[in-house]
Amino acid sequence: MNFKASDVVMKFKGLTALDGVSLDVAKGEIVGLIGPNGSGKTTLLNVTSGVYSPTSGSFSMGAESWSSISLRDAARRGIRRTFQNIRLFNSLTVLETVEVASAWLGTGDRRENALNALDELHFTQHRDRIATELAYGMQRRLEIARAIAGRLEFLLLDEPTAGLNHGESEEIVTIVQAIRRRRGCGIVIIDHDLNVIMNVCDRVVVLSEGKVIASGPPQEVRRDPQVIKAYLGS
Amino acid sequence: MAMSQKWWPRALIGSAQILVLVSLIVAGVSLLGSSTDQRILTVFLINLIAAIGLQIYTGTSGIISFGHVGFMALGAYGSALFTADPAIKAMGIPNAPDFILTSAMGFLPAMLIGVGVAAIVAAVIGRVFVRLGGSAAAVATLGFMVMVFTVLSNAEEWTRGAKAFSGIPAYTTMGWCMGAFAVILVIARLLRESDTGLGLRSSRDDAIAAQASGVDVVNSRYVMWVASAACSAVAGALYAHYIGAILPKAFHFELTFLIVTMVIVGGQSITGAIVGTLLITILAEALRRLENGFSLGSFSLSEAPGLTTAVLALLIVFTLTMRPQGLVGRWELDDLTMRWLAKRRPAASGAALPFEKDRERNPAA
Repeated sequence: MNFKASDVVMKFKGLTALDGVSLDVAKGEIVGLIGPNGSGKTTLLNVTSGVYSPTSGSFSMGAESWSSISLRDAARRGIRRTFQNIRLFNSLTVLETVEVASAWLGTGDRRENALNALDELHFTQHRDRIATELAYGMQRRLEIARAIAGRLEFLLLDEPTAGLNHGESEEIVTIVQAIRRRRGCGIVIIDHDLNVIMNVCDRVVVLSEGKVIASGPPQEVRRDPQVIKAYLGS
Repeated sequence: MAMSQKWWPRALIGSAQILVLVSLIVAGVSLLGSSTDQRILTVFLINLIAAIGLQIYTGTSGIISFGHVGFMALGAYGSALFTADPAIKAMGIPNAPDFILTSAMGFLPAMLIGVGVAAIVAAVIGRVFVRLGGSAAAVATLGFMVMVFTVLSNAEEWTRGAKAFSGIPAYTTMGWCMGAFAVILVIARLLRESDTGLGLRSSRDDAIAAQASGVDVVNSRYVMWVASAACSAVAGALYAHYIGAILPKAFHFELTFLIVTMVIVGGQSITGAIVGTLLITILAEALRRLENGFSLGSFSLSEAPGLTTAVLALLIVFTLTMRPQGLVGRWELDDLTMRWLAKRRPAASGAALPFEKDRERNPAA
């Protein structure tokens, strides 16, 4: 389903984190969201996934539209996400972690669906280990496995390669492409690693101070003077 | 996938393992123990059911309740009032309503009434209570326990108030205890492993990530809260029909403290509640003997009242500072046996791979 956010404003007390941001993501499209620190990238993800209610603006996906949504309802509509600061369950095993999502958002056997999601993320072992005891890179991958188990229409990845080495980042790129190919969902990816963004995205949206300052194919955005000034050149 | 399997058989296997172990203890004590030992054993089983009852809520939601002894009281009085001999009730509580005065039910229907009352009360107050966490939940549940105590102490026409309500038939046998234990053990494990229980356990660790995975935290807590209250009421009914005479004071701070200690010291799992109950029962028995006075060489103490409570308090402090997840943490007996087996056959399972040292890396760096 196509996702659309229109004219979203998010104010925290005196600070305007999002100042009329609109974002369209087509089914099967991968959109990169970049911008300097504090430009509103994660805030946009948070209002989209229901962590915050925006001050104003509206969202739509398929036939449904809303102006604010709870985390859980967003998840039930298939808007799924990972977190920049990894949020795993520290008393659950790897398999149980993914089973939470397949139990609450999936149809059919929760364990089978969880195992399939783990396979998709190349989690061939360690399934009985405690999630938060995994190596850092695997924790990032486990977050993605949890986010794709159960209903998935639109995937939001908040810095999936942060803290990963080159090889691990490459693996994430392959995984994201495979998810798009298999699931056909729209994907928004925030990342500071421009190689990742340029390799995996069909389109890049640049945020600066809560506004979209550029949007287009990666190669084009890279040459945009405004973007160079606000972000790339710095 | 080839290794597809359902989630619930493990819950049944785990229950069976525990049932075998507890049966061995029961058989051993029944065959070899004195009559005092058998009394301790019966009280152990009743406390075990109470601890599992509390653990159904606390172990999954991570929220402690000091109110479950109130549900035990409702179960105890509910069952006692409907089973006691009408002749005794005519003397003790002559002004009680007719349906209580004339009733002379069997154990099971009366117990179900007690359980039903507790479940209804839990369902009514639960809508508010399950929204509370941390110290707010502790204070509110403690308040509920005190309210039940106060109501029972003052409802003289129904309960004889603060005086003992006696003449309760001694229905509680070892068979009833084991039967109730087995049923509640299986219910508790199935609830814990169910979608609801799994979701709730995830929310205990990270509520935002749980909701982002679709978990309905408030309603899941509600289900567990009501089930947990009902199981506590079973323990209360068994207690009433074991002791034969109950008074509100029996369901007050002392019992609350005991059951809560069992659960906190044991851990977050059903197995944890059992380990905690076993440990505390043995400890409390040892201490109770010391309370009556002891001598150590030239040192002798005639009496040491309150020793048990003091040691239990220290045990809670020790657990919360040194091992907050409790003795067995999140694991169930079947988890532990599977992991132990996997460790013995390193090639057979991914779970058995040597522990990979976490790479210390800071994502922000």
